[in-house]
Amino acid sequence: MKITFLLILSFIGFSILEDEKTGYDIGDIAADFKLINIDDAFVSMENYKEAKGFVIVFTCNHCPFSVRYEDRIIDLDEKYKPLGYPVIAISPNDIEAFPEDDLANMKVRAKEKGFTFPYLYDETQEIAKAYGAKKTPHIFLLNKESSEDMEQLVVKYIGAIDDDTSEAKVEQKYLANAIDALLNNTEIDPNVTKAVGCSVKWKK
Amino acid sequence: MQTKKLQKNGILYILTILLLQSCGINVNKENTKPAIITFKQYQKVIKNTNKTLLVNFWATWCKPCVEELPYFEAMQKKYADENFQVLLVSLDFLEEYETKFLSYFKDNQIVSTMYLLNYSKSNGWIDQVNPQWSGALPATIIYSNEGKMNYFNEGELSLQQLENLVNKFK
Repeated sequence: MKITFLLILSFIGFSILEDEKTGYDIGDIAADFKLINIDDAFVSMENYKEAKGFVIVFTCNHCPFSVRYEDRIIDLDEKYKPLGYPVIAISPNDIEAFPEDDLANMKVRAKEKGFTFPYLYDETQEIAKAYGAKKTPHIFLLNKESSEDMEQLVVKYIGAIDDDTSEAKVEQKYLANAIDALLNNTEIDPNVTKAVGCSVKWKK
Repeated sequence: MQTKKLQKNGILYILTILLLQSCGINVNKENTKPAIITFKQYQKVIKNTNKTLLVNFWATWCKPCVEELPYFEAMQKKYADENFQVLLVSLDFLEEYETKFLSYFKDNQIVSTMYLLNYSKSNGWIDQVNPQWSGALPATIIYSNEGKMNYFNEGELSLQQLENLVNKFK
């Protein structure tokens, strides 16, 4: 009786925690998605059988902060895709607030810059909410790990690409260091960083 | 010997004042440019102003920030006195100081105290402002006259919300 009661209590407690939680922390299991890409095909992580993990980049067209990082995101993809960690970029903004972030403009921007990675449109904003993307750019590094014959995507690093908006002044390549640590099976330090960015514009 | 020491101290004093002024630990006066400050200087300003401070982190490149900036100016114009002041802290890119930041400051005839924060390499400063802050702009804080954070908001505010907040914490 007592045990049942405790179980119920802990279950209630757990559900409350689940409700209040916004976004992922390190060690959480990330959800897969099915989002439209700039080539009008839908992309899911489960399609990447060979990948060891993913660099999920919440970014967008309009944000000057994101624009400053575009070349660096391309470089990261070109370096780490062959090593098993491809970039997947996701644009989460409300296009009523920022029409320049709609799919048509995403296609234009991707072509102009020669994006080497998928650039997905999170129209319902559900993925951005699930991950806890607050701003652009906002990085979630995921690692494929097996647990009880199930492949799961574990969140290993959250935050910034590096420590300076001006590429020439960068001293700490946080994201690249985190992927290197995964490749070398060493500890990721730091595994959470913060940088300034444009806030994600949520639909009203 | 004593006079020499006094002279030396006097010179040091003047130099310190000049240095502080050149660092821009002063309010914007007409024809002066907003100063570029480090995060340490920001912390000093918060601690030493001895007024209730309404701080807004913004940037000219941030559309919602630019939309709500006039509300902060309105608060400064309406409520600023010996106990209350608005502080606008820009996170504009350093290399765009003249082209974007200063031209915005001049074109809009900003009356609030304004700084450009040089946060380059000051890792962890966002958490030092508030661990709840993701770093997204805009962000608004109200500090007590002793520099204690009484209010924090990530995201934009309406004029009415801001006015209610000022009346609550002023």
